[in-house]
Amino acid sequence: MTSISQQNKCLHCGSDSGEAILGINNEIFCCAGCRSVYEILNQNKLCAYYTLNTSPGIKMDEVASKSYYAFLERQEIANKLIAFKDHEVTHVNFYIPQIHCSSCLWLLEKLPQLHKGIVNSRVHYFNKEVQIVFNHKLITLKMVAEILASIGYRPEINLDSIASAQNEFVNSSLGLKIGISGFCFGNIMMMSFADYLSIGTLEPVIYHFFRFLSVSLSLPVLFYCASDFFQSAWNGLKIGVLKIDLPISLAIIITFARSMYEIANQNGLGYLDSMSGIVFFMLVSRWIQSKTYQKIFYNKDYRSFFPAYVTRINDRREEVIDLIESKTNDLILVRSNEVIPVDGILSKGKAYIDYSFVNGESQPVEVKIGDQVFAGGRQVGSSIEVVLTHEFSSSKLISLWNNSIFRTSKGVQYDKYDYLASVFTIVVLSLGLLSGLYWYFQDDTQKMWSSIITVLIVACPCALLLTKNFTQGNISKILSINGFFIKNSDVLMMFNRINTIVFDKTGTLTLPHENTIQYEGIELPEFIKEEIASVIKQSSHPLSMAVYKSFGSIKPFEVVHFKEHIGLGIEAWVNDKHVKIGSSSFVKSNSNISNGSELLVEYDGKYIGKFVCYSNYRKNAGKVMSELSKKYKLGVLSGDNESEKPQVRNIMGESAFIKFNQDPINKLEAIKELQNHGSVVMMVGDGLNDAGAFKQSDLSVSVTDKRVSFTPACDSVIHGDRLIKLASIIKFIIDAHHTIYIIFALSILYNMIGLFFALQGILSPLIAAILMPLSSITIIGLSYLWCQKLAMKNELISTQ
Amino acid sequence: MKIIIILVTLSFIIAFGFLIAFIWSVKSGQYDDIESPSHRIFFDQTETKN
Repeated sequence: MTSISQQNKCLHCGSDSGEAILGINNEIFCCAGCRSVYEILNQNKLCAYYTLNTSPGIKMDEVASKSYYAFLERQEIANKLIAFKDHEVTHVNFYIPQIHCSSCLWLLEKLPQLHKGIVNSRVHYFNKEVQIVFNHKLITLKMVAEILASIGYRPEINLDSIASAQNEFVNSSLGLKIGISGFCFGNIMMMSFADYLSIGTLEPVIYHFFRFLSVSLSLPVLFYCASDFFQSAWNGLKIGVLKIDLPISLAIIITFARSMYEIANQNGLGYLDSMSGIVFFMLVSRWIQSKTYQKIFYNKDYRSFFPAYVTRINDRREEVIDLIESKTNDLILVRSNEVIPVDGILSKGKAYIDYSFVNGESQPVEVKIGDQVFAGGRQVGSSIEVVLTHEFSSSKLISLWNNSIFRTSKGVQYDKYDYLASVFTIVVLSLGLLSGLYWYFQDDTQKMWSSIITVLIVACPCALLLTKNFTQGNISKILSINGFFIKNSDVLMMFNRINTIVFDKTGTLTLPHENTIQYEGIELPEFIKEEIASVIKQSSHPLSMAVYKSFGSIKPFEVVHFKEHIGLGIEAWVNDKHVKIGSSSFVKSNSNISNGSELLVEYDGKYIGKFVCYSNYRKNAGKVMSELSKKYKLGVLSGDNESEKPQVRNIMGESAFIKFNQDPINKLEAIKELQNHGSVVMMVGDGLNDAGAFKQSDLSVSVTDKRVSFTPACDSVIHGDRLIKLASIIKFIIDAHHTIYIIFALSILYNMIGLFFALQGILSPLIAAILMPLSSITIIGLSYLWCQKLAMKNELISTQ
Repeated sequence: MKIIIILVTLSFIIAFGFLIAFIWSVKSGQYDDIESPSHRIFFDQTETKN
């Protein structure tokens, strides 16, 4: 082993290679996993992978077991994944969440070079999917999955991915509708202009020709493009809700009817251009709104966290069964890095279970044979065998979802902008009718019709809706640049009401799976350090491995008489010295405070010190908290023990409340308690242990660190490294939302001016038809500029 | 002025051709993944270098 300076980054994954491993041509790797990927690629002349991007690889710390994809051999499981199969080739789609850059794309499309059985592979970057065509006479589905796993792209196959059906059709039909309505809008406009500019002087032949064309162009707009509005308005009416689509539908229908009336009476070409314009603009704004929302799945629940299949050991034979089929007393195999799917009792193997996702404990727990293991824990060490004591649905973790809070949906949060727009429409509609009545009693039927119709055209709430959709679209675009993703626009409105922010500790305030090891004790000479390190190296306990890593590269001594005491510690002889390392019940010490995250060391019969493992807190966490505390009440709910209370207090400041040892139900109750005292709570957390609190809170923000990770059902997702910007993100959202009101006011002003003339019956429908797109364009422009300005002010985008 | 009928018909036919092309491009899935083609265009260059 060669010593390498700390700055060296792994060629494959770019992580710091503390103890570097060298490749054939002296390349630097952080681990054997990364090197093996490089070797595979090198053999197959695929090293351009590393030239497209620096260190594009996926860290191979999770060494997949060979038999992980064994369940793909089962025909009924394979059939669920296979999209198409004939006598020679099979088409299959894999979801690979690790896809993140052009190198991934390049490599995955070069799969045929790795195995001649793979005919073709094509990546769908946006959906993180790869479609593989392979010759099933040369290669099996399982082998394809294993090839992918061997180069770091492990296909994710779980309950959810099998259950979900693809729903791309919705988007493509929206695109079609926009295209068709735009086409019709443009062409009708062209003819209408000729009509507007030469009122009454169009030659009859041309007039009839234009009339025919306009009407035939308007029909697809009315019956195809606008169908969503009618559908949604009608659905709303059926359940007695006044939806914003109702006034839009009314405007579309009335404009169309009035145009038909005019055309039938040979009185110009009507306002079919306005009608198709409304539809076109509304569809575009809807598209902009939907565009920013599709990247993340927000409604994941525990099902996406568990594997779809478990390996059952039956008469020493491994067989793969559906998780739901597993029964009490089944003996199942849990491999390294797999999640324990059901509560059970450990029957074989060394178990270090990482429960950080379930209860927020930062250190893996060592479990003795015969002790309970709980669903949701991840096995860190080697393979273990577990006898199930429950059925899947009655596991302790799953029972959280049976809590009543998960059965009640948050309820339709009413959209006050939609409401405002609806009220506005009703007011305008009744004004129109009143003025119609007035002119009727004045015996001026011409003015009566004119005023009713123009009022209706002017009163279309499109401008209001456009303001809302475009501004919210702009906001979410700026947010997504900053690593913050929202589920839908309703979420944005909640930010205004929040007055309390509650954080989780593990994985939220701290960096997940990153610890700092500190030695506390008497000063040690270099050779004793090396001796201790040599002993620690023998242990497979995760904490020992972390401590060993903290030594950097050392020359290990020979260790003899190594003995491991499960749950206690290790002892061994090195250079004729006895070394004992372990917990406080194993090594006698003078310090009495103890928690799960320290290793005490006894050297040559004397206690010399201990290694303490601290969580790494996010950089600048304290700064954000002090910024936030100016405006919000802050709190921490952690599932971990109290050992890090001083650090947490230091970050959160004096006024924050801090609670430790909270299980998921406690967290949920704590949030409820806050809400009962008038708090509107935003919950920031990660992991399953926050799922209950997420559901109870008024606004939930899930923190994710890996390029992909499981996020429980939540309203929004933030990248871990952007958490330091939380304060400015919140401020930006609130500021930007005020602009909606300003632009709202402006568009109402537009409408008022129009109404003023319309009610007197002196505004020709032509002017109304021109005013409509003009106001739309001003609004779109204003909303864009305003959002950019606010984003710059809050330093969310650069000022260039 | 009756020539306008022919002109409008012509322009309409051309525009209609583009509409058909657009519908075809949507239906054939060209808008399904607008991210990967922009990366793929670079791959050919690096390959010719090798």
